[in-house]
Amino acid sequence: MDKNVNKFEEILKSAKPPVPELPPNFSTRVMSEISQLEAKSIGLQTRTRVGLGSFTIACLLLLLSLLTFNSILFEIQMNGSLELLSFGTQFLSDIFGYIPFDLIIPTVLVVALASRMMWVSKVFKKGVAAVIISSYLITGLGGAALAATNVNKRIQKTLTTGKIDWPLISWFYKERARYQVKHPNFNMGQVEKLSDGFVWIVDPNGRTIKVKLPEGQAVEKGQFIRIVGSVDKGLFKGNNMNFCHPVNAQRYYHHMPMMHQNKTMHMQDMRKHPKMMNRMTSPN
Amino acid sequence: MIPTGFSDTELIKSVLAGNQADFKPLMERYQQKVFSYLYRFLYENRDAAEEVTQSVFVKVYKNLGSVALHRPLQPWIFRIAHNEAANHLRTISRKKESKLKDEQWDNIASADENQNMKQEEQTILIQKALDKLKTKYREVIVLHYFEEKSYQEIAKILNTSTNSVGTLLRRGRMKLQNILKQYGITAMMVFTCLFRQSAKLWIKT
Repeated sequence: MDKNVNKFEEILKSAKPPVPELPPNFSTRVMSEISQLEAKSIGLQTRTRVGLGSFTIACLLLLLSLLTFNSILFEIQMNGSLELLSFGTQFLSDIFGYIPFDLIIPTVLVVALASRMMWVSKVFKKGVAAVIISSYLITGLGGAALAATNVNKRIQKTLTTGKIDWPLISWFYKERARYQVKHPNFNMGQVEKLSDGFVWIVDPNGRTIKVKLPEGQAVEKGQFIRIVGSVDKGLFKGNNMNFCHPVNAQRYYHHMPMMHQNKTMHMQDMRKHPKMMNRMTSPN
Repeated sequence: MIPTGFSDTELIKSVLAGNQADFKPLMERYQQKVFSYLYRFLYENRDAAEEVTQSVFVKVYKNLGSVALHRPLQPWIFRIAHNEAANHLRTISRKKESKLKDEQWDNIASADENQNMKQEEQTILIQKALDKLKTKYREVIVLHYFEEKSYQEIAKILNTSTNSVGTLLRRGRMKLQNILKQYGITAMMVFTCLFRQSAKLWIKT
């Protein structure tokens, strides 16, 4: 057996194919390629430096977008427009008026810019689609996670009480705290008193509104209700009613001082949102 | 001329210090060895072997900063060559590279035992049988029998253990024998042909 193996090994060794010589200019050719490579690598180094800068800026832009997205969600929560959804989709089109597209559109564009910068920086060796999707996911999930915490509420509370004044943050929160849902067929508030099928509710703006309850509905003092109906001879007659979650409802009342500060302090400086401002300031 | 006065380490240090031209003598020391290995491994395709050799040295140059200066350079270069060859084989189909067509193989296989087989034909025969082997077996056979590398050297090149190299060689040999048998050629027959050829050459001289 071993003898056969040895013989076969001999055969293999004898079958070694002859190898031609490399061309005489081979090393010169390789050296020339290396020289070109050197020139390219200088460019590459510069690009890498620029890439790191782009990446840093992209990260900052993503962080800014994330914070803005958090504010967008907070604003939607605070303006009370989502309360309209509790009556089904009949007010769906009205909700669009309260969605802060003036923040959403720039945020979408900034994330697009950030993802492009991140892709150009070549820090991640991923396809452009992966970078774009990841950027939007980071902004979306990060912003949603931040909005789910109490951080916005705490900042708002700090700013409202005037304990601390962070110039930029203070301006931003006051600037954005201006919308409160106002709809001719909708009212929301805390029951102040009730009498013979009528209730008086105090809405987040502090106004007391007399409302005729729908047939068969009973409420108690202190409850938060939302009611849809129509105005007839100055009286709001309810067709449908349900109860608000007390915690959710109370946040609109906490939101009001910020709106009122805004109203008195920054009215002239504020950007114009006529439709919303009218909703906020117009008499009932 | 390759300067003999400088060691690999000295040349590497010089290149890393910015003397790009010193890479040339360093390359010239190993280029034929690398080419030889690649030529035999890449189915005796000269163009492919030359192209891959070139990319090997470009890669060697690019990664010169990461080489361990206290270790011999050759296994490191061969390891790069192995990787480059593997990449090359992945991208180019094996049949395209093969030197012989199947009909030619059949002709050789059916040749009468008494007919004089030329040394070149015998070499091609073995090479063709090697072509049929899986790359992992071919490579160790090429390195061991053609490039005369030891088990330890092959283990370094392939980044594996010497035991694995031994196993691959043993299996490779068996598979090679089976391929030869498939075509009705026994190892003994090949050996006889080779022996006859060698004897003739010896008588002539």
